[in-house]
Amino acid sequence: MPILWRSFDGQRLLDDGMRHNVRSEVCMMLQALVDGGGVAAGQRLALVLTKQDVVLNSDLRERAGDDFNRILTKVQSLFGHVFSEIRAFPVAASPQAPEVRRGSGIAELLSFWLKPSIPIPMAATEPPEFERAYARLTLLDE
Amino acid sequence: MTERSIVIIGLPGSGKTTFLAALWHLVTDHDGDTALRFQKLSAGDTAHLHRIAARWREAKEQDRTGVAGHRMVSMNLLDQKETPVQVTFPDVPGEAYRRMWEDRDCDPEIADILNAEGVLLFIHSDSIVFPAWVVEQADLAKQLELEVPDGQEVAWHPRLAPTQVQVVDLLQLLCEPPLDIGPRRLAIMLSVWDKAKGDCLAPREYLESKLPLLGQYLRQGANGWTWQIYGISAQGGDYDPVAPGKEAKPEAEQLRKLDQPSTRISLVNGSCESHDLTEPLAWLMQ
Repeated sequence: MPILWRSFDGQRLLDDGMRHNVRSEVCMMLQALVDGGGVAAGQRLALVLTKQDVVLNSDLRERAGDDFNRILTKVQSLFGHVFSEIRAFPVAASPQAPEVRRGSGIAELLSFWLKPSIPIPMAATEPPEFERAYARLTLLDE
Repeated sequence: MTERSIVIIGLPGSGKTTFLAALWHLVTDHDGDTALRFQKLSAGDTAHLHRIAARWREAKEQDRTGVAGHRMVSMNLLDQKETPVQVTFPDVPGEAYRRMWEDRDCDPEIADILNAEGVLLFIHSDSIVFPAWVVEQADLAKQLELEVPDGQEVAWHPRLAPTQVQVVDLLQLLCEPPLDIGPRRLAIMLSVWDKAKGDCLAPREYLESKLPLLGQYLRQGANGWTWQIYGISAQGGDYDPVAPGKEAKPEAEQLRKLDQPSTRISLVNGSCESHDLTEPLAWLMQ
């Protein structure tokens, strides 16, 4: 799987108490994946903020936007070395308000998903030099 | 990985679980410079830590029924030399320690936990029970023109003993078999320090002023403790109560509005103040 997708409910960012837990939950879930060996080298990460319409229609949209940016910055600083690319996608799959387009942000997310995998940079290694001729025998490609 | 164990002791409601919650938040959020840093999730049960830290972030008091029974929690941390260290803490309800004082008894399981090399002792600085003499109480009642009825003696119970008496006894018990494991370090944590700040005393002065028996016991090195004292405010103010129907606290509302929850934390060591709750742990592990 070339992409890992972590979504969280934008409505939770509007709650004074829950917003602090969102950041922690995102980071801890990623930490568990990394510690458990669940992230393959070269994978990309999409941080998806759902219910963007609810956020945009709230008086707290500016604070929620700042919180979302803080989550992105935190994830980039903690897991930037693990993922080849980390991007944020605010989406509104089924908005309740007419101001936001239905499916807003989904196309960008899918494009990110469909991007070709970034080859993992490998350090060039010299083959070991064996003293015995027998040890230098290799398999022929058929 | 080096394994270290630290036991957190204190009477009920002294702030042990709140400290663990704030500590877990601080290290996993990588928020600011700390003496010990988060390394990775441990294989053990971190669900308890996640649960109490979530309540702490939402500025809600810890649900004591939810944390009934003791739990062992481990944190994989890095010290300042980047050496991995696994610190194990028991989260034991204060009733277990109260039982040691009142019933002179201790579960074998708790006794095993108490064999840790470092001790964090929590004392709620805002609910210290001071020694009270009958003569003084009667005089006070007289001054307030309160009636003191005859024949209504209150039977003595160990729970009525002053805080410092209970705490000194607890420390002495740790230096007696089967709990004695030789010299160890003790960090005294005066919790709810935000409420004690009004007295304008440093933690050590506060100890000498409010808990003189404990101060004298430690100063004289009666049981050979190597000790340090801190003032700690792990919440930063009053949190919303657990019981349904109770009013939310305006202070909790203000604390939730802070963008960085770790700024609620305050640790005072002498005249230095920081948010670093790992400092006492690092000192205990020296």
